[in-house]
Amino acid sequence: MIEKCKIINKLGLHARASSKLVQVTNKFESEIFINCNGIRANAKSILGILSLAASCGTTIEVEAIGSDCKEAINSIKKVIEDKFGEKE
Amino acid sequence: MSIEKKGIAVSHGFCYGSIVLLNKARTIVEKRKIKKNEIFNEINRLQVAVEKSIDEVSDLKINSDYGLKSEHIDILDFNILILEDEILASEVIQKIKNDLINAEWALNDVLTNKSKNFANIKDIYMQERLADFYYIGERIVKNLRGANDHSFEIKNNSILVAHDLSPIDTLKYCQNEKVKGILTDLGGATSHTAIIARSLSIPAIMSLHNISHTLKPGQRAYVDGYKGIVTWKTNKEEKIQMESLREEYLLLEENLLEFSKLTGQTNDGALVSVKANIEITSELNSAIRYGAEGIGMYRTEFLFTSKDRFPTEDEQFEDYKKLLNTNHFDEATIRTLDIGGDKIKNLNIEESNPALGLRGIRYSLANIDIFERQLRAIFRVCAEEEKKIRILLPMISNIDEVIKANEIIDQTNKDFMVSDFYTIGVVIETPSAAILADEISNHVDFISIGTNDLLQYILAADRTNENLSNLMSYYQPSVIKIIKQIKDNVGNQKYISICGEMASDILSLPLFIGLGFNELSMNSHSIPIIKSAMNELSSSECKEIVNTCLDCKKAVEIEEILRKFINDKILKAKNLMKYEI
Repeated sequence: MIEKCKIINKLGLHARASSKLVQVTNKFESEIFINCNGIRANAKSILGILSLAASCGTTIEVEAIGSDCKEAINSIKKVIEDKFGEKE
Repeated sequence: MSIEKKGIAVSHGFCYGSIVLLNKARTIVEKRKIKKNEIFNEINRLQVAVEKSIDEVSDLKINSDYGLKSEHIDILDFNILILEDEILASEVIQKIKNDLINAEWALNDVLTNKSKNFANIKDIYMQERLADFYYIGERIVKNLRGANDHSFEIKNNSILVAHDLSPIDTLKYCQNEKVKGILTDLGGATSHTAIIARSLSIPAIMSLHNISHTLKPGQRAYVDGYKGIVTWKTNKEEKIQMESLREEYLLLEENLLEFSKLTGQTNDGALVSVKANIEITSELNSAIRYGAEGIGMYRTEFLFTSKDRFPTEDEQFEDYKKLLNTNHFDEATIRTLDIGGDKIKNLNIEESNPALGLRGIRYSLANIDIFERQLRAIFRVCAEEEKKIRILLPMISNIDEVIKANEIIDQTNKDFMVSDFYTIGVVIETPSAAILADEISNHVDFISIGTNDLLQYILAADRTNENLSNLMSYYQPSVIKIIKQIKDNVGNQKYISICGEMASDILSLPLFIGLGFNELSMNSHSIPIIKSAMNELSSSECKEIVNTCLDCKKAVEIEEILRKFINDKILKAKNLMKYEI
């Protein structure tokens, strides 16, 4: 299952946001990847996500493979749409 | 015979204590080939060390004795996630298997490669986290070697010695009052660690190159945070000398505290308010101790750059509130963010010359949301404390910027209606603003001259360039003329201050008094001497000296005249003037 998603928090996938994202992805059994800027990163790895250097406005592709892929993608979209809990 | 080494004194004070080596320089990871039948053992060692490292960082998080704030917790979380990272572990294991090398080397290799990759990412938040890679690597390597925290258990009267000390470690180790001094190989006066050392009043010397290789654990040493000298292997006689030096410094501090009680005025009654520049709010204590008559400038950059994101409005509110709820000050000055493309790389701006780039008010006007958030936090403090905050706008170069900033301030204030509790001022630090000072002052409540940047821009000389130290003089006729011109242009109607290092220069003091400045704002430690000197000068004599200096054609002549004047007039603070404070 693949879905597109736009990074809308001001600072993009920086250290803190990446931490939040990894804390979400690690709750799921599915293998999860993020495709962005021609790089495919394991979304359960903070080093993987940091290597994407996705800034605000970047569209990423979230790919989940496994039994709970749907829930995984929904949760990921939610945390991205919530701007990782950042105030603006 | 004793051995001594000179570095940069970043935090004043003097102490004698025993060396605690915090971490060895990063380079000493050894490469060792392993046999095939050792692979399993090596991977096992790695996993045990990583587990132990995770436990240590988690303990740090739980143990609230260190008074960790939410931003510190974020950093620790980030550290834990890297330690738990599957990619990292699998790459290191792969490396051990393929290259048949020890876990330490494999880990070092993988982390070095990763940090090289991240170094290419133009994002300041990422850049700041690069340092975390080293700390994580060091922690695992330490655990691989079986060494543990007990090897540097901190006893009373310890001197922390490290290659580099992270701000987190500084806070962690130094809050129990057992650490009396700090020595590091790297770093300088503006590093975050230096700022924290100053705020905790712990003498610190940085840029000591390989001091972490030179000193041995348990060795005793003297840290002279006034001169930036560390001394060890002292014999009996030298110890006596050092003890008399300690007495000297104790006397110095006593004198300073005595002087700190003075009022900032001349002996003929002219009032010149002597205030403190601070970089973090925990410096308020030393500002109060050294007799600051207010906070003349709170630089907000540390607040904005010490985390991996900008502070929220709430966080800023909590921080700014501390300026006013000490009961010592009825007002405080907050300089809005003076940061530029050199520090915020996520703007996607490649600036070849950040000093002349999008910084100060230029940045705030280009990022109105960040500017408004800072203003909102300030106004909330005004509303809650009902005390005055002076808002100081940096890097103004023309009227348009002042008008635009004023509009945004007015607009933001509509939610708070606190116009009785704030005033607006600008920092005159560009030559353009200096020329326009009279028009600019019509739009604001007060003016502050930022001498550090003004000197740099007027003389077109980088103040950190050692080759230009003769040119970069406070006593250049052009500098003195421009300061006089600004003062004349602003006139006597508007409050005008000097902020910047020149405000603490005792030789420049007669000029500022003679020109009729209302306020000098400086680092806290300089306040007592300036107050004492001021009390021995008369404004009429200072006016004459200004005229004499304005007639001089050369910087050396001006410096000579001022030196003689100060030497003749200043008696009480004379024996303190030899210290670089």
